[in-house]
Amino acid sequence: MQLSKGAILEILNGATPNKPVFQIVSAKKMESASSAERYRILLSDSEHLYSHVMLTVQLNKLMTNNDITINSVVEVTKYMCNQVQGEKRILVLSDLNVLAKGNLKVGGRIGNPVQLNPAQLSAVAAGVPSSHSDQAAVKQTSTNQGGLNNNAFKANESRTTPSTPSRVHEIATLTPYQNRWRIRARVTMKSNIRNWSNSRGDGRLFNVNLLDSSGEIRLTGFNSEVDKYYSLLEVNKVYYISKCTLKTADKRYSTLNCDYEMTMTPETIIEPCNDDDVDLPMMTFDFVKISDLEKCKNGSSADVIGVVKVANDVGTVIGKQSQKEITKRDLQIVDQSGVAVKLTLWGDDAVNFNGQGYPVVAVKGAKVSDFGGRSLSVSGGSQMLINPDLKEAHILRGWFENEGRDQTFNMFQSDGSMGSGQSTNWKNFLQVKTENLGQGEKADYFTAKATIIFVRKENCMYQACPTADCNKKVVDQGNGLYRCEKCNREFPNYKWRMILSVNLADHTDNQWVTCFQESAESMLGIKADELGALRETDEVQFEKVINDAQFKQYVFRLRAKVETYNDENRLKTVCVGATPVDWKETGYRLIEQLSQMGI
Amino acid sequence: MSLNEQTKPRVNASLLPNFHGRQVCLLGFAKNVDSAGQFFTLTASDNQDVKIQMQDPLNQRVSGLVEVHGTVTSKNSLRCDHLVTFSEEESQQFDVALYQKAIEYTHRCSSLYIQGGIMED
Repeated sequence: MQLSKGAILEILNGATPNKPVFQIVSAKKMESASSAERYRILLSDSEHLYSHVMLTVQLNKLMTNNDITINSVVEVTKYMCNQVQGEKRILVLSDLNVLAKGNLKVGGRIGNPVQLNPAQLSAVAAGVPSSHSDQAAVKQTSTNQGGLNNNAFKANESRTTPSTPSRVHEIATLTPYQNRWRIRARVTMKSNIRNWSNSRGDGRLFNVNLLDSSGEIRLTGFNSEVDKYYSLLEVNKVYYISKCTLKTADKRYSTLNCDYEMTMTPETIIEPCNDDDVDLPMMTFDFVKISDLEKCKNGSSADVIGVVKVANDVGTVIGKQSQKEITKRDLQIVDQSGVAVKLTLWGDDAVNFNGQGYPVVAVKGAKVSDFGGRSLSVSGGSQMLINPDLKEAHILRGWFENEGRDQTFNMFQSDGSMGSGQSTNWKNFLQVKTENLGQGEKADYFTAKATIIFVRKENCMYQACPTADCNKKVVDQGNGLYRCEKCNREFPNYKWRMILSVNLADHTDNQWVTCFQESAESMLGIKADELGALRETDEVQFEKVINDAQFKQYVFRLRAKVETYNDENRLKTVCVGATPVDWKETGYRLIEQLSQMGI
Repeated sequence: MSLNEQTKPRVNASLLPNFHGRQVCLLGFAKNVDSAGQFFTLTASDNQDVKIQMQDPLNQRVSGLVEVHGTVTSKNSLRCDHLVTFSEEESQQFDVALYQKAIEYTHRCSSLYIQGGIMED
């Protein structure tokens, strides 16, 4: 029996030979999301084998009736060649006649067809010598029983798992308009399971970031898929994935540079890939030494690795926006740069963390904040690995065992420690003016070492509501009662609160500053109520207290903001803290400045 | 401003040769008071020793941080005119390195640091 030699290549290259005769070497039922069964054929024209061949569903009965069996020879009367996904060409057979059934009339494979390499399309066929197909032929002739074999077709990569459709696609080629793909990718990030609850109901979700040689994409699983796949997917392992829905990426939730993102469906298939020859990029880190973190901007992200020197207990905080309790845990990590930094874990990460034995922790995409100088957080977009199998981790462990354990580390300082948790930002008063502090949208905080040169004693105190947290000025009703508008109550008493207007000066300039209760009390060395009483009883003593405060030096934490009153812009400076000068610290700071000036 | 006869700059041991016969202020740690109370050794901020000669024998215990005001008699000795002593606690908290740095700067940029004397315009 003669087949139409070379017809396959002709068809794939665009020609339309009339009624070609082929041999169906094997056939397989394909899994499909839709209810229709589809059969995929391995077709031979005695010169080539081609596996991207399908029967239209109208011909399905030929398969189910066993009219077509292994090695049947058929004359194809109607066919189509469709080009999908760029290079791939699929041959669809829509009508054919069975010339000879397999087994009985036909002994085995006709001729010695070789697998058609997609690269050969539009090129003269030479065929890739493939010993596999000979072995396959031997296998098939010896094992065919007249039914359908379930052997997989040979693609360019050798895979023989039963449910694999065609070859592996690249992540970069995925689009929402083409659903029949399979990718092979490494998980570079797996989030925790998140629960949500809103007016429409509640649910759970988790997501992973997938990476292959072409790019990255984010995959999210909801509800039942969480149960199915959360434990299966592990960071740094490779999986075959197919049948997810694609849509345009929501950039708010992902830091990946990909136009699309995927969601799992009930039909999604995820299988571990155990090939060793898979050449996928590993999770890459770009570690920053802890001492270099001060170069990272507030709000940026960085990859860090360090040894956990201190692991505090799990604590809770109230979320600012959610108003719910969130668990957290603060760690202190160190590295060879000699600096320690705080690393905060949240939620399950915090609860499950085991700090025993000084583990090495690596975080990809840790969030950098300037709280306390510099600190790090494992945010939703970060990935934390504990004792990872990385070269840097092993080097760290060795260093820690030998020296690091006993070393004392520098901490990031918000030096001057004003308690506002921000960097000090030393300025002199001339700089405040020339650098236009306070002119922006937000107030500018800065620190200045200055001398009080004047304290205004008029209007330095006011009568305030006696209620604990209320400091609103009360109105004297004249009848011995004082009314607070905020509390909507009247009181027979009040408390004195200070609101001091002082003029501060340094060697460059001076500045009027308003000081409230706490800083005013420390600057005058007297409580507000005492001062209030003194003002009424002993004028002389009162003046002395005021005068004694003058010409003293402090380190002031100040807040500058330009405010508009009736079309006029005025710089208002408020003192949020005043502390005595630490002369040693001042001396070292000056030395630092001098050395920076090159003296 | 110039360094004239009336200024009494703060110095360390290495600077003494520059001020031979002049009045200086030397701050350091005292040790080795002799039995008569006439001499003792002062370790200056640059960690070198200077011999201090008292005009009147010492009538108080001298140890820890001490400030000697006097005249330079040789490259490593001083005749003391006036002594300032400090408490134990002050001696403990004193940062010698910072003081040494200050001395270095004031002498390196002497025109920028006023140390007493007559101001010239």
